[in-house]
Amino acid sequence: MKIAIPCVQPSASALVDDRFGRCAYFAFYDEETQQTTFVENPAAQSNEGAGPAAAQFVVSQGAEAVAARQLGPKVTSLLQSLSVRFIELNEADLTIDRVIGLF
Amino acid sequence: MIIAIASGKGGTGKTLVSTNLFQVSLDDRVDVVLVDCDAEEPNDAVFLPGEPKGMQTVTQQMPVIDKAVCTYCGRCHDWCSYNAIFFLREPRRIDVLEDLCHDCGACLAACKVGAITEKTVPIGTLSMRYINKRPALIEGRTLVGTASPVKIIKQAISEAGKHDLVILDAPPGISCPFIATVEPADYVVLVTEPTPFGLNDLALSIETLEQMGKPHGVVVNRAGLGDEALYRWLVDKGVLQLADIPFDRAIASVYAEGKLVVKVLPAYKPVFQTLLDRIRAQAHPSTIA
Repeated sequence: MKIAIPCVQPSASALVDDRFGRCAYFAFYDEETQQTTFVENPAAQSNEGAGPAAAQFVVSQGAEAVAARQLGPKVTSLLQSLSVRFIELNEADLTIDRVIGLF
Repeated sequence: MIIAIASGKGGTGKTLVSTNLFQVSLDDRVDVVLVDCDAEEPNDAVFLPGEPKGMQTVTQQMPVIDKAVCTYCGRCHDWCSYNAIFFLREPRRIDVLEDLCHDCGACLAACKVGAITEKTVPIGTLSMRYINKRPALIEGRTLVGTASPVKIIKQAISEAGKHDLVILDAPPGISCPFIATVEPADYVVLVTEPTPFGLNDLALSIETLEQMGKPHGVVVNRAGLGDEALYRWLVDKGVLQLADIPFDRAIASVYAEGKLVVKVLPAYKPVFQTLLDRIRAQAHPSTIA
């Protein structure tokens, strides 16, 4: 399974970004290969609709799950309709390393 | 002449100023119409007599995608500036996110196979109130669940037509609904209060109006409250102060009862009369003797 995680910097030691749609980067962690790649979030600067645009981006990158602090209502229903799992991160200030360690 | 009464911060007294300016204009036998452009929570009607007549529905066009005809080329999605079309090639998925649609029509023009048609969606209402059989108040009202009141505001202003004086009671803030209201105005009156919140939001409003090249002046409401920082700022910036409305419990009481200050507290009538004269002089500088 490929998991998308919003983060503030493109590095494993970076913090999870509290925002989904307007996060700076996405970390994509592939459970099979155990590889993590970082990609800039193309939706971050959207005037409107950053959430759905970011959802579209992570799904187009093959994400089957999103691990994030919280999601808005539009993103929640879109991801549900695409059968993309939402993994809620209950703890603040987690690093990408820590999140990946959960899988 | 079109005058917009606006403010950055909410609750500074736009409606107080709009409705009382309207009344002193009416008393002065001016051909005046008030337009309540705060379409997300209009309340000018509370202060004026009469029942609404001639209710109209405001609609917007919303794209509908025929998935049987769609080739999933993604052009409509690429053309949409508002992320209102959710599109995935794999898995195949295309949806209109209606909350985000601005009714611009770009997706229709983008589609090469005719998969997109439009449906008509109600988004708000316009109503007209008359005083002595003359149009007095036009109210734009957004339906619950509508994302943007901009089209309702534009239609309300256009419904007002030409009069000697059209007063637009603007929505708070400096986003699209504010822009849509001040855009057609010849002059903008910004109502503020002498508090840090009032000053902060006034500065944002003035920055926006300067970018738009809109002439403007300031009314300080609840004068006597707060501090002197606002007044210093107005002097430093060279912004015209049009009027002071004192911080007076009597004004608040009359307003809270849904009544007009100029009718119940005649002592304040000259404040609004002078304000009207100053606005007229500012909006038509050439008429100053």
